[in-house]
Amino acid sequence: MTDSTYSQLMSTASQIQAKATQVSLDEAQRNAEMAARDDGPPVSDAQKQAIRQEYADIPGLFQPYANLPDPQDYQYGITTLDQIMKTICAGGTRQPDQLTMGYSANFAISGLGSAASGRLSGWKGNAATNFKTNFLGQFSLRAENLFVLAGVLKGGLQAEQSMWTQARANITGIATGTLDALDNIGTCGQGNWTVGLTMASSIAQILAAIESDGASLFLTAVGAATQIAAAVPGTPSQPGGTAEQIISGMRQLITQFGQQLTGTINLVTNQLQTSSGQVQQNLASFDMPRPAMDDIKDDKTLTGALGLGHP
Amino acid sequence: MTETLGDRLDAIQVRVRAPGAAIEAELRHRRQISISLDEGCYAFLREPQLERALAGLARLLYTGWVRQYRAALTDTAIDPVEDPDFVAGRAKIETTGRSADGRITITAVGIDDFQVRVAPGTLRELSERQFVTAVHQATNGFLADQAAKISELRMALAQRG
Repeated sequence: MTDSTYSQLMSTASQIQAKATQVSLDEAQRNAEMAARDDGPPVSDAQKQAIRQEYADIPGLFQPYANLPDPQDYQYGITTLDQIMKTICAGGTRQPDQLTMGYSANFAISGLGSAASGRLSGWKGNAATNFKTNFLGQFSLRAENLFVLAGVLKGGLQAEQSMWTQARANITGIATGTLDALDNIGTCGQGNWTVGLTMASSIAQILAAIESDGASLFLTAVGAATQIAAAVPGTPSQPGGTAEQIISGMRQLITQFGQQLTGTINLVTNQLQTSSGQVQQNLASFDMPRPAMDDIKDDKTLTGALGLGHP
Repeated sequence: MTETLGDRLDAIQVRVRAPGAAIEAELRHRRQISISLDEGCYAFLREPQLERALAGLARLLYTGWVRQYRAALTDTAIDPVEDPDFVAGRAKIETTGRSADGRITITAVGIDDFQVRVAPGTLRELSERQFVTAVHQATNGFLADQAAKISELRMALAQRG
């Protein structure tokens, strides 16, 4: 599916409406002829009106999905988080996974931990001990947690980006598939047709990655992947016998699509809200405590044993 | 506007020549069939020879159409594999098309077993132009009958569910 195809969704919907109406009118005329065994009576105006009415709602069925968010709009946030991850990657001991692999350690950060026993080894006193233990010693661990959190956020944006990409492709697939089936009427083929609804399964992979990253960060996530996989309905072949049948299949597909989209939006939202809640509950794992000497107001104490101490 | 399956099917053109006879046939826009005879050959043809030539043209047109039709289905939602019930039902369909004067009759059982009947004396009594018109009427009648019967079969299978 190209983006230009999606931008023509409502135009395709109008084509479907016109084509389904015309094919149904032809079918009605043929039925009248069959019943009369020859040139049957023309289809009455009331019948024609009923047929037109039957398909009048088609554009309205597609309208709610005609202005879905543009997946490209997520790219800036994803790129920004990628830059943040490159900057704060401390290169810890955790196993890289789908969201965090491929990042090299930034030595400006990973080198901080060793500074306590290196360049600052001569710095003694309470402040030095506190600084080395509470700040330097934990800096790269917290950076690592922030790094993973950025990975989770990036995964969330990628999940939404993928969700809208798939949503656009799926609703466009339903529209063009319906038109294909209508176009195929009149040929000698049977014309059964299949449109795949792929959104939920593709999102499941990304959410599973968030889940695994979250788990490494004790951000316990819902069992997203299995729930989504179970929720993905099959997309069986639709009969292409008559216009009425084709449009009935289209209506079912749009309903299924809408349910999948709502389910996926809820799942992504729940996943990120759960992660957000976990971060709130464990804020100390991400946030560096304020150095105690920040509160020392008088210079003498600040440079004394309780403050910066002696080099 | 993106090209639809309908556009692709409308664009299919098949042009064939009957083996051993100076007749060509062309299929355009799904169901417009025209035939043309080499200049000066009409006077030398006989009915049985024409019957074989026209039936051969029908088979070649059908084969050419199916080949391009299948190619046109690529990347569409249409399933390339058909149900055995549909295939079996289609194989039993009997289709007929006649010229207005009844001199030319095209029949088929299934969709590719064509027979053509040209009434004796036709070539003597019809000019080449009249003959071509009569063939045109018969092919139109044949295609309309076939479309109606395929549609009936689809509807019957659809109602069966």
